[in-house]
Amino acid sequence: MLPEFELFEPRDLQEAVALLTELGERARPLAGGTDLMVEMREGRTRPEYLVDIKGLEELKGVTASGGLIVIGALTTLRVLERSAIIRDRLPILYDAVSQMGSVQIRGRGTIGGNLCNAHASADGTAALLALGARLRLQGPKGSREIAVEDFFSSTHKTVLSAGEVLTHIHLSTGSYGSGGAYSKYTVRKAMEPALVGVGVFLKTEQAGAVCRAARIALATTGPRPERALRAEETLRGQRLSEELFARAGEAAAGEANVGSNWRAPEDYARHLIEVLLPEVARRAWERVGHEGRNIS
Amino acid sequence: MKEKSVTLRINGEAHVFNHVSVRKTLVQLIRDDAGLMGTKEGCGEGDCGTCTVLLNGQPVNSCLVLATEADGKEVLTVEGLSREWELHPLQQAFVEEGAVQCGFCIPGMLLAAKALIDENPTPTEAEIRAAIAGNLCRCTGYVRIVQAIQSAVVSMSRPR
Repeated sequence: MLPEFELFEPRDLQEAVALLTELGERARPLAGGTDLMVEMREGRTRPEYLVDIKGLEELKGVTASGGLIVIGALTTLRVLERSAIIRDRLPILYDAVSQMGSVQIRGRGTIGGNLCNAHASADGTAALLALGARLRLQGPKGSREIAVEDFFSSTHKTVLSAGEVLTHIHLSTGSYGSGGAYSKYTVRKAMEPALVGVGVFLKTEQAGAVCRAARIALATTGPRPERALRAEETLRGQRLSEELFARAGEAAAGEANVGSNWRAPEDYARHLIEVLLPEVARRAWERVGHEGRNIS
Repeated sequence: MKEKSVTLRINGEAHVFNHVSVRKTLVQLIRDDAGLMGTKEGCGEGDCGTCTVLLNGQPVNSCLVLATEADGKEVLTVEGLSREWELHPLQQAFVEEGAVQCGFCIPGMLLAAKALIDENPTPTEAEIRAAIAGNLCRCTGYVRIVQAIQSAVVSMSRPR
């Protein structure tokens, strides 16, 4: 049995926000439960109230219109993995979600939960960081939109205020000539959080030869998923090549906020970044043409 | 609420459970209230997969699902695979290929495999391995389990 709590099942977003506002710190929203229920069983968190938001259909699904893709926060990782829109137009996000957990976990876990739990090792979050996602939040006083990098306040903490719920993720598929990839290093082939995860999103010009802009995200290395700004700077405006990717890898390995990470010792984590980043960047580059064709 | 009445179908049979505590997980409801002991609980945190059942056709770790969430839904457990004394083709293949040693992981393994074949009747070996990545077996080394699923795929694709 789980520890003592009281359950609420709001019928719509408005009711969920009202409940979470009223119950405050003593309540936790329950989405897929793949993290929360484990934390409760282990006694790491003891909410007095669970507000089960799984039934809020308005927070589910993937839609595309023009260059904008909107993902409901309660969309499961499995739905994203199987979405043609994600696979064709945001393959970096496909890379990330398809490598998470098991089929069972992906069928329950949601992309919003992945963001809100704010784990440094969150693959989906790292991919969204590389993509420059924007997040739609709904609170008791109305809604606001923020950049994903402004969402995390510290380890396992977000800027969500009392009663505020993450409702949607907004993504631009970018212009012709962009491509992205995500990969993580793990000891096992599945069912393991990243020792290090790297997401790279490139925008190019001159038929993919020159990097116009790059966004690079690292998972697991620091207290939360973070961008590697110096590595991005290394690529910007340069002619893309293996040598350039290697230099970006060195830059990211140097700048990463690698602390006392229990998953990998510091030297090893930096080495993994240096080796993994060029591989991921090459795959992102290979996808530039392919992705471009799918973008109107 | 602290409890709720749960009406669901387990293996096609209708059940009503009154006063189900919200603290109860689906695997506890299946074992303790429905009395179906085929579903095992291993790690209790979604790592081992032995508690896998199909909830409305989707594989879930029943240790991470609140029992009350199953209200109005359809659950398939390992007991629902065979008909009378006729084993499901997956079960038959597991027996014939020697895919079972201690057996603790097998109920979850069978249901993860069934979910895969329901969705993709001709999976590749890589797809089979990905589908059972969340089901740990500490005895067999998986080779015979994968072979059994491949063999079941062949027998299930034959017209019966």
